[in-house]
Amino acid sequence: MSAAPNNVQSVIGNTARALSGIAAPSRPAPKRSRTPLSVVQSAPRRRRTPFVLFCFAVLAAALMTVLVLNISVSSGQYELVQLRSEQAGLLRHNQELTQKVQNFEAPQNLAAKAAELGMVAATTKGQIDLKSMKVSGTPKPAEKADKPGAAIAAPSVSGAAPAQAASSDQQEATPLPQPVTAKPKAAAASPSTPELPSQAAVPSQAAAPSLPAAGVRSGTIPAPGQKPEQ
Amino acid sequence: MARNSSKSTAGSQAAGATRRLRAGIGIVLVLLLVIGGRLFLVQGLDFGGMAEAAVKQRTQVQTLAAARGEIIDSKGNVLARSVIRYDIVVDQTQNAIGEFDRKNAATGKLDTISRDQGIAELAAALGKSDEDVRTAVTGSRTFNYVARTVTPDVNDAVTKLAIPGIYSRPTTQRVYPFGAVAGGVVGFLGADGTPLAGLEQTMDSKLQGKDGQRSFQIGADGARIPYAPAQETPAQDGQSVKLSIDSDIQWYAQQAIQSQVDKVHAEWGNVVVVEVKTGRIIAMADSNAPDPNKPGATAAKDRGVRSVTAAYEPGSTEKMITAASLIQTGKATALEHVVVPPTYTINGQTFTDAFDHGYENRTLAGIVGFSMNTGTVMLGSRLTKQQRYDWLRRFGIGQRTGIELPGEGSGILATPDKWDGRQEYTVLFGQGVAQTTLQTAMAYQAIANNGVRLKPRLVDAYVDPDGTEHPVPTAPGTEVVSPKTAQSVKDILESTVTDGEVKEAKIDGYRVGAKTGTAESPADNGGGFDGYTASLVGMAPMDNPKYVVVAVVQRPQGSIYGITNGPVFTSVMSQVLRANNVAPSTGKPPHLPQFFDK
Repeated sequence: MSAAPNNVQSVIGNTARALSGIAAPSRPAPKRSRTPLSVVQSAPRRRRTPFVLFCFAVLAAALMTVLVLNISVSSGQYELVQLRSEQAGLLRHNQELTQKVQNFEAPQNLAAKAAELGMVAATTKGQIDLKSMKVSGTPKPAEKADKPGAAIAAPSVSGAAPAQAASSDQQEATPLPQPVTAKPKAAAASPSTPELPSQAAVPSQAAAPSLPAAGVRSGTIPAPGQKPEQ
Repeated sequence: MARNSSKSTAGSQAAGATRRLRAGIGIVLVLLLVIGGRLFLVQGLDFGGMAEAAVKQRTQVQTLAAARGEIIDSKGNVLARSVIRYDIVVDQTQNAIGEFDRKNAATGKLDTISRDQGIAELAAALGKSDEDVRTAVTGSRTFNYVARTVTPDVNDAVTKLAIPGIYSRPTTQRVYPFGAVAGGVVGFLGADGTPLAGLEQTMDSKLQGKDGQRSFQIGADGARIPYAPAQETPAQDGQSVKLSIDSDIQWYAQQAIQSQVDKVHAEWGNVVVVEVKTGRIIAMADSNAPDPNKPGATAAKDRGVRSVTAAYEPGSTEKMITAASLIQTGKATALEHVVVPPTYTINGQTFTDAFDHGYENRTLAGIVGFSMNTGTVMLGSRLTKQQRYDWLRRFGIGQRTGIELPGEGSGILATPDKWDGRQEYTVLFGQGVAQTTLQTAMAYQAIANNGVRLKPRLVDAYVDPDGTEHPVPTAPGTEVVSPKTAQSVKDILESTVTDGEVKEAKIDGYRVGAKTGTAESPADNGGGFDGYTASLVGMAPMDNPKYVVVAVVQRPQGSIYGITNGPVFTSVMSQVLRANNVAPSTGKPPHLPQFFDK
């Protein structure tokens, strides 16, 4: 809304154009009523600083959260690996013990053990009929017969003997709850039997159910199932 | 003028700025293009295979080995299972150092261990001699076994020693907790895991599962990268096979037959126990049974199951079949009167008995009860040759039973047109025909089961890894003789024990039916006969037969007349009846007369 005509360039470059030949007072002043200036109460401008700070805080918080999440997930992974390896160790240990129990349950081992304890197989039996209260059959007390003939060799499950050797040092410290009457008779009945050694190994195992220590191979994460074996 | 010059200076300045600006933008754009192009090449096209190589380096692919199913007996005892074992191996080049440091768990400090000490500790952990271990770890090879298939406990002990160059490799091993008990039936695997014998071989497709695979990415420290892509196809473990074998009975039977074989110095012996109503094999015991943990310790000829592989001439136990076919075809009754001469000659073939006698007034029951060849041939020749053959076939002679074991023999039953003049009569009393112990057992099972012959089986059920059982149904049987005929034959067999010559088969409290058989066994070299086969087959309790037991010894030394399988039969049968809580017999034994009065 300048008073100058619109087709006249009012500036050259960044300097004001020299006014030449035009006398401003000669022009009749436009009769225009001007809005009187007055002090305007400006609307209180909101300060930007808190908002910016807030944004930064949110950003920082978000970054921190992501970082913490990442760290926790990563450390969770390490813990997972650790627990997995512990689980695998326990499973192995359980399997080992189960196998020993099964070995003890083998009929020939049970029979050898029973014979060792002086037990004798019954050859006759009688029945009591509860309705008539009659005893049928001619039950006789079991007698110590002559040698039971052939004995089936104890199962030769491998690995039982070395297990005993490995824990022999612990065994010395642990008093064995073995009956004093135990004679090495079963060994004579079945040569090269792993029964006795494995049996001896059980108490020591029970005394020290040691789990595989973490990080046995110095400095690496114990992840047996997930780390390639060299 | 001044205006012009100032204008032109300003203009040239502006143009220079624009040029520089443009050049700068140009350079930036070119750089961006180059970088973008490179990015595209690297990320989009991956010419050098870098990304692929990186992924490859991070990605670990593991085979998830499927666990082989277990073999369990009817009571749930484990007869075969796979366990984790470790091979301890050595890189000898890494082990060849004088000493090494090891962190002491107690003090937290590093101990210096000499190589000798390390070897000594390793030997102690492995239960081997120092010398053996030293030999194994010394040399220039990068791979050598120090110990194979050690238990996890030993492996842990070895790993704790942290000896340089000593590593362990996980492996699986098949173990058989009951060893030689049912060892032959269960079978075994070869060193490479190939099933070589027994049910391990025939049930392989059920036992072996399907291997799975897992791929994931690991970081430099070996731990898994949590968010990296991972794939897992789980392994499908094999099914377990549940047998009809009762390992207690099996052990008892093996013990009994082994004692008998040792006592009479026989070549071999076996005992088969069959459940009458189902055809389930409760025990299948062979002498010198292999321990599947160490099959090499047993002679190759003893590693199978002779009860199904070895066919031999059964002898007099076959008279039961002759009697059954005579009664079923109506050619004779159990009390048929026959005057039996001391020797009997037919078509130029003369037959005698195991004992001397004059002319005797015998019933068919008495002929079977005293196992007379003469009387059997006299009555049996009422059947045509084809009938004799057909009846033997009907009782399962000359055909495989289809039991789930490898190498089953069908026995030898020649067709009637190939029979020579003597064989056509000898088949009536079990010579000139060969069968396995299992076939004998199943022929008697047919009589015990009211004339219905079943298919024998060893497998009760297949068990999924989650424990779901899939029972194997009893296959429908074939009726061989009518229930009436079967009852007559049962009466004959029981009278054989009560009034005939098989009194040794008596069991207190139970009614028993049994028949002995003594056959000459053909020499392996084909020249005549060189020994005997003694057998005893029986069933109990006769009021409702539940079990059939066959006991056989091959080529016992010494006089055949002194040899009896009676104690083996009675002890095994009593044990079976006792273990299965069979109620004592009721009713009266039939006591069929063995003689008749004129």
